Amino acid sequence: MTKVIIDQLGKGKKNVTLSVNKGESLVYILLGIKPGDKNVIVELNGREAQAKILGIILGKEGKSNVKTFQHHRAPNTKSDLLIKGAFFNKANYNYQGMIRIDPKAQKSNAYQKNKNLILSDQARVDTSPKLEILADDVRCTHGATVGRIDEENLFYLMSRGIPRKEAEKLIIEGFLKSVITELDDDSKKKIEKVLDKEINKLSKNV
Amino acid sequence: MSAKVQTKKLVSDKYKFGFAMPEKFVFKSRKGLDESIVKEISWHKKEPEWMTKLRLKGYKYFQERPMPEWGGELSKIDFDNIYYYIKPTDKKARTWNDLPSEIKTTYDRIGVPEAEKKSLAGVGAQYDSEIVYHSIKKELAKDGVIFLGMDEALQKFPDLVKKYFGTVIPLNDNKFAALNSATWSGGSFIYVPKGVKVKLPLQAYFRINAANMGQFERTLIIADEGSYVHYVEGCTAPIYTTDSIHAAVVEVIVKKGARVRYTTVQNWSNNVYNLVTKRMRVEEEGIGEWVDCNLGSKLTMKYPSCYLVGRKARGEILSMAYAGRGQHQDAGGKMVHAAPETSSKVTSKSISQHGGRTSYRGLLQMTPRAKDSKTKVVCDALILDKASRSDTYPDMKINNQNVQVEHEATVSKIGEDQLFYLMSRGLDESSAEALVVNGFIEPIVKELPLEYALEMNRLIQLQMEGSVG
Repeated sequence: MTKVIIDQLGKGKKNVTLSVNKGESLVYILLGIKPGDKNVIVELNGREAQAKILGIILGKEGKSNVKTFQHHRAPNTKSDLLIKGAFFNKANYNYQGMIRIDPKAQKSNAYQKNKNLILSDQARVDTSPKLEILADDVRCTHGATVGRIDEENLFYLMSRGIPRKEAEKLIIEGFLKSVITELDDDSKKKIEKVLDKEINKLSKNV
Repeated sequence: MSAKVQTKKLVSDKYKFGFAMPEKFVFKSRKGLDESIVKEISWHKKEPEWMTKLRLKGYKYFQERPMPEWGGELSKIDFDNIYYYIKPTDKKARTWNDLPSEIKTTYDRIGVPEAEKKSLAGVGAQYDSEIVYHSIKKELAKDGVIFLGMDEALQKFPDLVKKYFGTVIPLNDNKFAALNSATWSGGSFIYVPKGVKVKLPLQAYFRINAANMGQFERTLIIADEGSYVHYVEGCTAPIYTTDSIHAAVVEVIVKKGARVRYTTVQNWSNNVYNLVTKRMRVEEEGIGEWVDCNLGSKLTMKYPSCYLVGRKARGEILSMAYAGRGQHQDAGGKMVHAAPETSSKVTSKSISQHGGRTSYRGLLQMTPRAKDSKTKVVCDALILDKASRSDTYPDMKINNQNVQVEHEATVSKIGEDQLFYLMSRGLDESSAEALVVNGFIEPIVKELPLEYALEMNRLIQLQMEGSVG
């Protein structure tokens, strides 16, 4: 059974430590519709432990600090992180990710992806995805991107008669929601409920 | 099988430049550093007063700055146990035969004079604290190209040096840049006039001979509008049981439409702390390129950087690091986009084995002025055995909406499918592994001048028989 935890930025505890034991599987989702700080530590403590860390950050104001730590402490463990963010106005976002693979955590796989859309010249995004690999028989990749909305995508939608603002909203919505496509229906509904409300607010003042 | 199975030696750990010559010098400062030694260095060099003052300011900053708390293990450096200035000879030679025989033998064994004959436009050679040999092809001198030791340049072109010295890297930039500003000696000074293209590379060889030596060369390159120059440096030292420091500062100014390529093949012995600050200022439509290969040293902390300050300026860093037993290579690069339509690319390849540690540390910054700029970083790391370690510490600071920033990194061992494929074609395991390692670093090696590419292939030696230990 996979355990699913839905957390929100600016709500609940600032420091979250999750431990995944032998054979267990965990999904942690961070939803950010308000500014705030979150420090998430995921420890893979037993053989075959698996964790998925997902994040959707919609930054419209204020300063947010998100830190994640994927700590592989046992062999044959797997972790997969995907956090996407879209930033407007004067939003200030700082992401620091760390994957650490201990010497005994051989045959582990770890992924870390942080993608950001920056939608205002006043917005500021700092991202620092780090790796510390102390075992050799592993596979680790990470990537980070920061950019604006793809002009070609925008042109395509607009050529279909969709006004620019609406097209931008659709692209941002698709960009963020792609994070949760693989979730179970229940969790997906819960997240979409919160997210849709915020995205609809956007089209009025983007 | 015992628990302590040694991995195969894919990359040779043998260091062939570890020989030392008997120490002969005309002056050697006492160990340690204080104001009087700083003044003494300046006095020996008969420097103008402004430089003495600048050195003293640098010394003050050096004392004030704390040690960096990130990067490698720096706490074991004993600044009081270092000779800050050793003058190996009184005269500067224009032919190799004019050099004292120990120095000449050293360079013969490294192979410098031979290389000069074949493929270089100019050569400088630094032995401990001073440049001992310097030459440049006549045609270049006629075009107005200046290629001198930094000390000689300060005597001959004081205004030019004063105008640019410390403008790219301020004295107080970091602790080791401050140390260099206080104690600098040697290094190259290059000025390429407007529109002049230097076709063959200019080259400098840095050699530490004495034990407990601190080498603090200072290099300044100015490429005037539309010019081109390729500068290559190589570094070696003897193996001692005590540590030496190499803390260089390299400032490069790339003016409008000019292009500078700076290639380093650092192969210090394993008792050298290599703490270097290198930076380029790239103006409108200029191109600045660093090719940075780190093979030797105990600890290297070096992040060549490009400040792209003019429209359409371009920066590129190719970084390669190898860390073997007892080595930590903390390398990488920085790209600061401070003008519109600038672009940059960073490619990093690292290999660690025998308990070595490689770290990529990088910064990408998009300032509010960097409209329509692009940057991409790709880091690949290979770990060859389980005692070794690989880190990636990238930092991206984005303050502009019209930019494109990408970073990607991969850490892995040699792929089993790659090995299987090669072995199914009849290669034995160690040749297959060697082939994969060579292919891995090929994108960087192919950018090196031929003699260095050959040297690199020798260093990354193929151990066909797969010997143990």
